[in-house]
Order: sequence, then C-alpha cells, then structure tokens
Amino acid sequence: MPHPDEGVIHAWLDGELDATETARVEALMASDPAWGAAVAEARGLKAASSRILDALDHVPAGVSPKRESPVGSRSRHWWTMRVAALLVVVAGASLVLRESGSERALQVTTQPSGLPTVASAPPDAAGPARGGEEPRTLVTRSTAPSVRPSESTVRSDRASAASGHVAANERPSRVADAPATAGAPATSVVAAWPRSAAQAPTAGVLADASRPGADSVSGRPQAPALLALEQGAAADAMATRREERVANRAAAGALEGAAKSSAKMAGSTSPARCYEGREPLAIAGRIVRHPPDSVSLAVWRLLAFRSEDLIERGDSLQSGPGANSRVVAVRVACPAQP
Amino acid sequence: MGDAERLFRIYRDMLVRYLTRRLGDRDWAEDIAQETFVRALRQDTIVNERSWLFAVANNLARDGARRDARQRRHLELLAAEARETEPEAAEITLDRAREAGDARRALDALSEKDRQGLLLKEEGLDYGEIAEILGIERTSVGTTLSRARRRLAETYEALQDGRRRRAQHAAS
Repeated sequence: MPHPDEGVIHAWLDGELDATETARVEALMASDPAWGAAVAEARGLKAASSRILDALDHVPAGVSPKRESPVGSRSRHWWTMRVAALLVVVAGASLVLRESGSERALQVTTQPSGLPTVASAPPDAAGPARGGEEPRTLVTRSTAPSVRPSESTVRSDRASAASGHVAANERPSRVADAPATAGAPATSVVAAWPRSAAQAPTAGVLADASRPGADSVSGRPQAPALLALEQGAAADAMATRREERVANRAAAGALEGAAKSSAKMAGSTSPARCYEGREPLAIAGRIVRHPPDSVSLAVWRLLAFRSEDLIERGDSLQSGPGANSRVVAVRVACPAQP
Repeated sequence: MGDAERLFRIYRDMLVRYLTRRLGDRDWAEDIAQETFVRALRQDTIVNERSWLFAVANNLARDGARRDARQRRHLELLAAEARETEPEAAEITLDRAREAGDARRALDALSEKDRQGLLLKEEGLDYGEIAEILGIERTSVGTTLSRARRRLAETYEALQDGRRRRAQHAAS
C-alpha cells in the first residue's frame, strides 16, 4: 500500500483530482486505515485553517496609522521640520531679493489651517496676491516638476505598489497613465495640504499646476530662489513614502474609497463637487460626486461617465478637447448624504 | 466600461477580503483593490479575469507588504482601539482582537508562497489559477496547501496554548 500522500489527499478534498485519481484515492481510503486517518486529519486541517482565516476578517477598517499614531506623529513632525526649513530659506531669499532691488516682495502669511504660505505680490499691494487671488501654497507649484506623466506615475507606483512588478504581470504591460491623467500626481500633492473651505480648487489652478515654473494662480514666472526652493521641496516630497502613498492612493482612487482615504490622510476640508449627467442617456440626470481632494479626475470620470474622456471646464464637464466637444455634465449642489 | 463595472461587482469583495487577510489592513486592502480595478480599466481584454485580478493584486500587495513594521503597528493599533471601547464590549472585542492577532501571527509564519496559495484557495480560485499566479506546477498546489494548512493550524494552536498557559499562570 502506498504511503498517504498529503498533497493528493488535499487535492481530493478540494475537488481537484481527475476521475481516475479520485477513484484511486477513494479506493485507498476504503482499504487502508492509514489513508483513512490521513484523510480525516486533512479534513480537520482544512476546516481549522478556514476558521483561522475567518478570524482575520475581524480586523476593522480604519486601523491604518492615523495622525495620532507613532507613524502619523512622525509624519507630522517631518512636515513641521520641512515647513520650518522652508521658512528659514524663504526669509533668506526675501532678504536677498530686497537687497538686490527686486520689484517683488515676498510676504509670508498664515492661512487659517495654520500652515504658512508664501504669496507673491507687487510692492504696492498691502494684502495677498494681486486681483484678489488666494495666496498659493508652495506645494502647489512644488508638484510641477513631477508632472511628466510617465516619470511621476512610475515614481509613485514604484514607491507604493511597484508598477514595475505589476507591469511584468500585466498583459500587455502599461505603466504610464494616459495623458488625461497627467495632472493627477500634481493635484494629489496640492490636495494633501489642508485648505480652508474658501480655497476650493478651480479648473484654472489644476491646469496651471501642470506648467513647471509657473505661478499656479497668476501664471507669472516665479523668483528663481523660490522656484529652486519649491523644486527642492518637490524632490523631498516625492521622496517620502507617505507622500508617494498619498499620491498613489489618489491616483488609484475610484469613487468612495479614494474620497475616504484622501480625506482621512490629508485632513482636508475641501467639499465634494457634484455633477449631474446630461449625456449620454445612460447617465442623464445621474448625480456623481467628485471625490474631494482626489487626484484621479480622469479615473473618476472614466468610472462615473463610462467611456467619456472628460475635461473639466468651469462648472461643466465636457467631452474631449476641440470645437466639437459637448457638455456631458454640469455642476450642481451636492445632495445631502445619508 | 460596463465590463469594468461588472468586474468590480463580481470580484471586489473577494479581492478586498483576500487582501485584508493577507495584509491585515482593510484600508490598504481597499486601496490595492481599487488600484487593481483601475489597471483593469486600461486592459483591452483580459482572458482569465479572476486569475488576472488576483495576480495583479497579489503583486501590488507583495511589494507593499515588504514593510513588515507596518503590519505590526496595525496589530498594536487594533489592540489599542479594542481597549478604548466600553468595558463589556472591550472584553469581547479584545478577545476577537487576540484571535485575529494569533491568526495573523500564524499566517505570517508561513512562507510567502504557502500563505498566498492558502488565501487564494479560500477565495475560491482553482488549482490552475493558483498555479498560474504563484508560478508553480499545478501538481504542486495540493502539496503547497497541505503544508500551509498544517503549519497554520499548528502555529495557531501553539499560540492559543501559550496564551491559555499564561492566563492560568497569572490566575494562580
């Protein structure tokens, strides 16, 4: 009598043997006590392992390290140190610029969120940036160098979920996102900074964030020292695990999950935006909530509006660029959530 | 795009459950599941949907799961959260947290292949799919699972025994 083969026995229990092998095992079970005992033991092990694995399902959501956790506090400390370092450099740059007779004055203001920002204003402006534009945050422009689609996508993917490994298993493998998502990583870093409710993102900001070296609000060229500072800050930001995780999480975001995760991680107060579908007919009248502070507008659009390649313009989503684009959805007030 | 929604409806829950068991972090599992479906959106065709989805999710999880410290922190947070609840509920929750912790440790005691194979089988994948995802022969899957199940059960039992002995020792 052959010695009980545990691999064969487990395959039999899992229903994976062909008819011939099944008959052989069943004959051995009936005739050999050793096989019978081995099968009984295997049944017990299979049932026990299922029960044990079920215990893992008791893990609730929301146990990811929060801001109060050691990981969160480390991250907060890191941000604090970085902001402090930026302030020192900005103060030095301010002195250099004044002494050099630059027409620009750098003003450091503190937003309600408590994070310092730098506003660029002409010498005669007493308040924030010209034209009533909101003070922009450093990180808005700091994302600019990373907006090259393939590079930013690969970098964020590698840091969090190894796009290279996945690419090896995808058939065909594609790592870089489509051009529609080019702005995504930039926006995700912008979204990571807490902002007041008044500072809702606009299409203009999103568009300008993609231009390296440009002021995301006014589009004016930046002071070289500030640009270098921000580019350095951008390099630091993209080098951290947490920043890359936020970027990747936002880039991957589908509807509710991306909104929940991004808001939790960033602590942002930006309200969601809602759009009512106009066409195609399948989505006419359907209200779709734009995830707050999510970077993956293109992905969200694909999921929500099926195959449309949408562009956000003002208060509407339009299909594709060009003169033949049509309004697919219009912005509406968000309905109250249950 | 209807295909993407169909895939999402059919496989999302099982993918999240697989990833949650594997990673011990539901939030992370949901993130990886979403990333997996986003990548599925980019594929023109997928021959074996379940196999493809789990393979992609597996690879995403594998590269992230190399940060072991994160998993340990999650267990600590889990226990801490359990302690923060009401006294009566806390006792029940703490017991479940301990069971989950022992289950996690027992699962971590397996090799990567054994662990993945076991979790994939629990999600209903057949031996052919498991073999393809793990990169092993189909005829080896039975042996892999038998080894994994035995090791998991024995390790878990040992952890539970240790806990009972410590409790008895503390009580005496």
